[in-house]
Amino acid sequence: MAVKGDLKDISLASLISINCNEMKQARLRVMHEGQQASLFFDGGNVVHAVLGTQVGEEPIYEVLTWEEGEFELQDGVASPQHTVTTGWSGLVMEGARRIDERASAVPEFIAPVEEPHGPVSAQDLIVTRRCAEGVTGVVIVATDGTVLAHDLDGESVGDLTNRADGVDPDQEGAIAVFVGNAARQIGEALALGAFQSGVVQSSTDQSKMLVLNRPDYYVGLLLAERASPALVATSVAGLLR
Amino acid sequence: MQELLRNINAVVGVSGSFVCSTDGEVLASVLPGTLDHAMLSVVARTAAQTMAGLQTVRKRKIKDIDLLFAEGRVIVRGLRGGSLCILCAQRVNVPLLNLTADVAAKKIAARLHEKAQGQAEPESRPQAQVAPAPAPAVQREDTPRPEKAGRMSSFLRPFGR
Repeated sequence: MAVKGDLKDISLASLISINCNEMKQARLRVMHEGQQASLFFDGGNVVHAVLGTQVGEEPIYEVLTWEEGEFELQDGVASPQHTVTTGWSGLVMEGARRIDERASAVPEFIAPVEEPHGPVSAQDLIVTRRCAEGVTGVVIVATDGTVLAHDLDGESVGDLTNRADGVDPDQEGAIAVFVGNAARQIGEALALGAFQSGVVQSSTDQSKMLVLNRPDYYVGLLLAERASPALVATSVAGLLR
Repeated sequence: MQELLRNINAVVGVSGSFVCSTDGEVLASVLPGTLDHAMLSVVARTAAQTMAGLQTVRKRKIKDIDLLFAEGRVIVRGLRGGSLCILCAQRVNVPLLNLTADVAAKKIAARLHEKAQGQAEPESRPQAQVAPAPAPAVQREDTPRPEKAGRMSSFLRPFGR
């Protein structure tokens, strides 16, 4: 049985992420303004894509720019060819890079505090936010509390603070470090091994922050009320690997 | 409170639980014997500090903090007057755990509240006309505790913030 939906409800990057993480063999048909593309999944990757006369990776990059359209996912359909060799996260990152290039006329979309350095870049933020369903903001912070980059526009998460102009990156970064450091102390005391992730949930508005522990930094993700921290953690960990 | 903690520990995947005050003092615990008291105190203090710090910054109550480790999971549930800490397996069934923990948390919170009221009452009563009772333990001055407002900043100080 096919699953049908609208790209307004779930992005193509999310569909790719979910199908690859679940190691599905499936065909995804995407319809947009009279065009129809087909993506084939197998063994945790996109193995083939077709758009008109194009095959391979280029159709995927084109389809990733589609913000509107319908899709139909059919499980158990084997791919007729193998024309894609790049891993799914690489495809999504390259797609996001191309989108970013096209959207360069809107430079304020991403607001790095300073020139990104170290293991993360603004690119990671764009990919993270676009690919993980339910993520309303991202802050990447070094273990010393320095905010490396952030994507907090305050549109969806303005209720987290009293600031009228959105969420404060320094504060959100400090919270991520605070939780991460506390978790490390608790983990050491109880001999529970490495800290992987933490979720802080407030009782009044059900807002959540997911903190992911990376070797040199923490990723703080502000989540929508209905977002699943486990699913987001899996998607984002795959992207940042 | 021990009985309530035993109920929580009966859930599959839970290895232990304890209740601590907002100051990080362990008030009750049912834990595996491998955990020594010094380590438990570190966990209790850290949990209480974290809960207090987050509530100060967020300006609202924190429902819980769920920490996932390579070899286990710690869920810290915020209560009025303290925290309930549950040690469990990484893949514990959280909805199932919540069925028991929610009920226990309410009862524990009520007992913490009763305890706090019991401690506050002697101060609000007029001067006793009978021989004064021995000073309650909470009035001891030999172990001063840090100001709540300073917790967040002192915790972040090692990170240069």
